[in-house]
Amino acid sequence: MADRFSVEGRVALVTGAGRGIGRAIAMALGEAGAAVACAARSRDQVEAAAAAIAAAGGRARALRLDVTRPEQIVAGVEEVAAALGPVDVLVNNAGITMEKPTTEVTDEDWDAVLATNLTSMFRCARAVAPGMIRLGRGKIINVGSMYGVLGVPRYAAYCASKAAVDGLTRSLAAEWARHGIQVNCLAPGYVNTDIPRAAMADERTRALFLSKVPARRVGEPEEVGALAVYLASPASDFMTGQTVYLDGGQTMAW
Amino acid sequence: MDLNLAGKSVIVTGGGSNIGRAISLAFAREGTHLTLAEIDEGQGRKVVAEAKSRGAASAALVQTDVTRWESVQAMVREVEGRLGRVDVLVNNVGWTYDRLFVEKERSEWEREIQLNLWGMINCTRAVLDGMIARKAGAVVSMGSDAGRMGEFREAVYGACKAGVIALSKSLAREVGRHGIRLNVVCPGMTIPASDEDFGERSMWAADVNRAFSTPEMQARIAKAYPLRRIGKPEDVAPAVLFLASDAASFITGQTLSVSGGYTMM
Repeated sequence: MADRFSVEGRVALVTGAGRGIGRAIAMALGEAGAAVACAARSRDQVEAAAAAIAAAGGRARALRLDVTRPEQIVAGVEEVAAALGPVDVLVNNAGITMEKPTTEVTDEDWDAVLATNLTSMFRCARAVAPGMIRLGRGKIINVGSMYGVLGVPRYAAYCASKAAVDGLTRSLAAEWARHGIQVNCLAPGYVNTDIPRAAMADERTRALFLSKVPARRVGEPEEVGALAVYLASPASDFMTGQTVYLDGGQTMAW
Repeated sequence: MDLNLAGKSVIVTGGGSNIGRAISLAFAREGTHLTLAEIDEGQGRKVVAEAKSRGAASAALVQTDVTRWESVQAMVREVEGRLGRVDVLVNNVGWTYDRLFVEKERSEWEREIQLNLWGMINCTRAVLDGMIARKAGAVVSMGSDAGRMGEFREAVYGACKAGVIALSKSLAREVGRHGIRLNVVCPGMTIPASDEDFGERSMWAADVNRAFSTPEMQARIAKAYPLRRIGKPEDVAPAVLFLASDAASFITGQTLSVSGGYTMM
């Protein structure tokens, strides 16, 4: 059975792989046998991520990519195909967050969140799909959020973008199912990365946050990595159009 | 990815037939201590032998009627006595008759509620004390897409499966603080590959359900699934293993449809 959880021989492109959850997903896919293209805006971060995968015995390539630039996406996918082979696993992870009273959110703020969190996912999926259709298989993992189903004040653009990721996931899943492509959404809750760590810096806030989590703790990036491996591997071949919440039970959305 | 399930004590209810059999054999290959809580002795013995030959650290049959609380308690006591603990419970027993609601006998509804809901309540209740004491444990229960979106000819069955989902979520809230996780996997229609894969007490032995076994019927059903095929028992087993393992250590209260995209919710 363990071999069904292997991604040996697969080529994965992970956006936002420079830090946090994206980096953990890239590391986990590398450990599970995939060749991983680590994509993000910061050269230092993608090179460090790729080096960490290589140091752990995996195969990786650093890719500088700003997912809000369509021409960079097309060129990036071609570059990965030339260097590692056609992409058969896409992890749409790049995202930004924004907390602001909605009356103060500018058009530019709104557009920036939607461009990074939603439009980039469509463009990356569109760029890799023809290759996957030719292969007759593929896995697309869109990183959503429990904020896609929770109503969180001061996060209108972020919540809307993450709810939209669910819709994108289901539509792509239905459209490409016949080509052997599975599209699922990985929706984390609070995970131990820079932003939640900063938000929970003082003990009282931390206790308040955790009182809403049945597991009474935050998730670790490695736990997100393990779910990504499951969703990227043949173990999930009969599962598509699903959103899996990794949130210690916080949402339990229907 | 190594799921680190080797050496874990795993109970699979209804582990002798169809999906339960595939789940049991998948846990066997991971080197677990496997217990089949199965009412059909002959089928159970067969699968225990298969499990041993496929790498189980140990495999045992404990003949169990999941609808009877005394039988379930005795089964869990036996496992805790023999292995010291239960790490994983898979509530797999399930049953339905393919019939319209208004055409079903009350006795058929009652049988569905007994097997699909009471069985899950009994088994889950019985393992929780030990799991709470050890501050660890995973319960994976088989739901159904019928319980998420409703289904023709599966009214009471669907209601039971919705109950399995809600019970799992409520308990996930209650016992999350003890490190115990409960999740649900919803298979699509999963028809046994051969008559060898289920016992005479399986729902697949019931005449009314045999109608699904014809190739014409299966081709018709496959069209309802975006992935254009009917589920195999082996499709579901990896999802159960994943949720039962520490790889899913921050996932609880979730319902996962592994059904070829039949439901996307």
